[in-house]
Amino acid sequence: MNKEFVYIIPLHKKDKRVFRAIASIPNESTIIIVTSSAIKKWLKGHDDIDVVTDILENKNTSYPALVNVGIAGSKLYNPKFISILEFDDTVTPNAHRIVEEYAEAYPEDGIFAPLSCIVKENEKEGEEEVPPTLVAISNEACFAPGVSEEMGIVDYNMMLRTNFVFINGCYIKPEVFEEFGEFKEAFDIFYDYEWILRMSYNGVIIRGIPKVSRFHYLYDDSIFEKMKIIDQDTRSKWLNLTRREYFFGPNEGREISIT
Amino acid sequence: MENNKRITVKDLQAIRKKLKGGNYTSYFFLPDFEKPSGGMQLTYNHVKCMNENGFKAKIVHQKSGFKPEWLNDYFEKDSEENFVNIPTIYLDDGKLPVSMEDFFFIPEGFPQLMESLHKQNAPCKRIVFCQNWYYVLNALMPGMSWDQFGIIDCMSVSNSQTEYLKMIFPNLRVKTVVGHIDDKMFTPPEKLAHKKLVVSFIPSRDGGTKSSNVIKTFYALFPHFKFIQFKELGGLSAEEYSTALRESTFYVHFDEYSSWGTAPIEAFLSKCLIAGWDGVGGREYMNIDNMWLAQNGDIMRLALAIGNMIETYIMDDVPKKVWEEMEKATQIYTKEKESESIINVHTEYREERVKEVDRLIEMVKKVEEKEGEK
Repeated sequence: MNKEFVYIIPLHKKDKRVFRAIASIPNESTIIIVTSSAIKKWLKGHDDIDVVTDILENKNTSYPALVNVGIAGSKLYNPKFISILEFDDTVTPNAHRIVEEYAEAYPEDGIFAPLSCIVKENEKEGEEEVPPTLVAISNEACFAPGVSEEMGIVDYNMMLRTNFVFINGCYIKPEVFEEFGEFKEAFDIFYDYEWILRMSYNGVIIRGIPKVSRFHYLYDDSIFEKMKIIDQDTRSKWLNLTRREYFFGPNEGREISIT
Repeated sequence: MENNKRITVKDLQAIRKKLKGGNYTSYFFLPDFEKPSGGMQLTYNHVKCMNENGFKAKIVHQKSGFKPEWLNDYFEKDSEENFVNIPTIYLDDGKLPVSMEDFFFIPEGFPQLMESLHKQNAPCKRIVFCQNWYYVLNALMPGMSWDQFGIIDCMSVSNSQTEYLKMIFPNLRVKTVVGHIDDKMFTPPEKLAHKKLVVSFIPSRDGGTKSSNVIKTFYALFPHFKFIQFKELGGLSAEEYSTALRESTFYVHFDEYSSWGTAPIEAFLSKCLIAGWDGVGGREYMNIDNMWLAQNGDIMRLALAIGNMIETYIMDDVPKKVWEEMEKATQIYTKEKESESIINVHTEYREERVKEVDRLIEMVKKVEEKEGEK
C-alpha cells in the first residue's frame, strides 16, 4: 500500500477533465479526490482513484480546506511526496523520475518546485487534435538572474516581495506539513503564498527543478484565471494580511476578517 | 643556421646516423601570445608528449624569457619554474641551432617565417603545423602556396581540416595528429542534478558580435525562456573555466573557424549539452547525434537550435543516444590516442627524412665521383 507519491485533487464540480488528470498520473501513486458525495457517486467506478473523500458539502468550503483534508488522508499511505493538482492539470510521464533525481541530489530540501507549462487548449481542426499553445512557464523565476542568491533556491527575501512559486504541481515532503503546518483555511486567496512564505521563513529549502512535471490548462473557470478578476483592492488587503500572518502556524493566527 | 657549407657524402651519412639514432630535435615555433589559446596549449602538449616518448622536441618563442603564464595551470613545473619535458628556446637569444637532421614546425599563419627560412636555405626539414584552416589562405597572397617556400609537408589536427588542405593544396603531404583533453580536469558533477540552469559560451571570434546576436535572437524567438542565463567563459583561470563547465547544463559553440575545437570536447566531458557551429574542423566529432548543430555562421538556425536544446532538456526528453554519442566523441581524444598518433607521425617523418637523405647521398655520391674523375 506504500506508494511514494500522493496526489490530492480538490474537485468542486463534475468536470470530465478530471479524468484526463487522473490518466496522466504515473501508476506508482495514490490519488485522493476531495469532493462532495454527489460527485463521489459520479466518480464511482473509476479504477484509478484510490480515495474519494466527500467533505465538500458546503459550497463555501475553501480550497485550502479541501487540500488539508487530502493531506490528512495522505498520512494513511506514508508517502515520500505529496503533490496538489488542479482537476484540469496533467502530470508529465517522467515527473516522478525527475523529482526522485533531485530529491536524491538534495536530501535536505523539503519542497521541490519543478517547472510547469501553462497552456491554452486549442479547438480540434476537424478530426485532428491540435496541441495546446504554450502561454508561460511557471516556477521559472527561481532560475532567473537576480532572483535568488543561489540559483534554483527560492529566496525568502524575494518571496516577501512577490510570489513566484505555484504550489500546485510542487512535490512536498509530508514532514514539512507535520513540522510547520498545513494551509490556513481562512485564506480564500493567497493561501499558497502564505504557506510558501511560512515555509521559507522557517528555513525549509524550496528548490526549483529545471524540468517540466506538469501542464496547467487555462480556462475561464480555472483558479489562475479567477485571480485576474479579483479587484485590486481586495487583492491588496489579502496580500497585506498574508505578509502579516505567515509568522504564525495555522492554528495560532488571529481571527481573519476581510471586509 | 649552417646553410652555406657544401655538404659531402660523409656529412650526409653522419646525418643519417643521427636520424636513425634519434639524435635530432623537432622545433615548434610559437608566437609570444599572452592570451589563452587552445592551439598553443596543444603544441605544448605535443612537445611534452614527444619528449616523454623518446623524441627530442623544443618550443621556439620569440622574445627571450617569454612564458605564457596562463599555461601554469595546465603543466607541471620543475624547481626552476620551467615546464617539465617542455624545453624552450628563444629567437632573440641568437642563431637557431638547427641542422639538417632537425625538423622545424611552423604554424599556418606565419608565411613570412616560412619565406625567411626558405631564403636562408635553412637546412632542416620544414613542416607546417596547421591548427586552423581559416588562417591558411588568409595569411597568403592569392595564388600562393606553401610549396613556394619549399614546404611540402603539413601536420594537421583534424581529419576535416586535412581534407580541406588536400583540396586547396593537392600536392601537399598531410599527416593528421589528434590532441587530447584532460579528462581529469574536465569532469561532470557527482550528480547531474547539481548542474545549474546556465548556458556557457565563449564569444565568437569577431569580438562577440555574432554570439551576442545569436543570444538576442534566441530571447526574441523564445520569450518564455527569458529566465535562461548565458555565462561568458572569458578571462578565467583553468580551474575556474573547468568549474564553470562542470556547473553548466549547456554550452554553445560559437566558433565558425575552428580546426578542431577543444571547448566542445571539454563540454562533452563535463556533460554539458551542446548547440553550435562545428567550425568545419569539428566535423570529425560534432554531429546531429551528439549536439544541436547549425550551419556555420547561421545566426537564426543557431538561435533555434539553442531553443530546441533547452526545450528538449526541460521536457526531460534528451535521448539516451545523445549522451552516449557525446561520450563516444570524447574517446577519440584521449591521452593514449594522442601519444599513439604523435609517435606514429613523427616516426613516419623520421623514416621519410632518412629516405630523403639516402637519395641525397646517392646524388652527392655521383657528384663526388664525377669530381674525382676530373
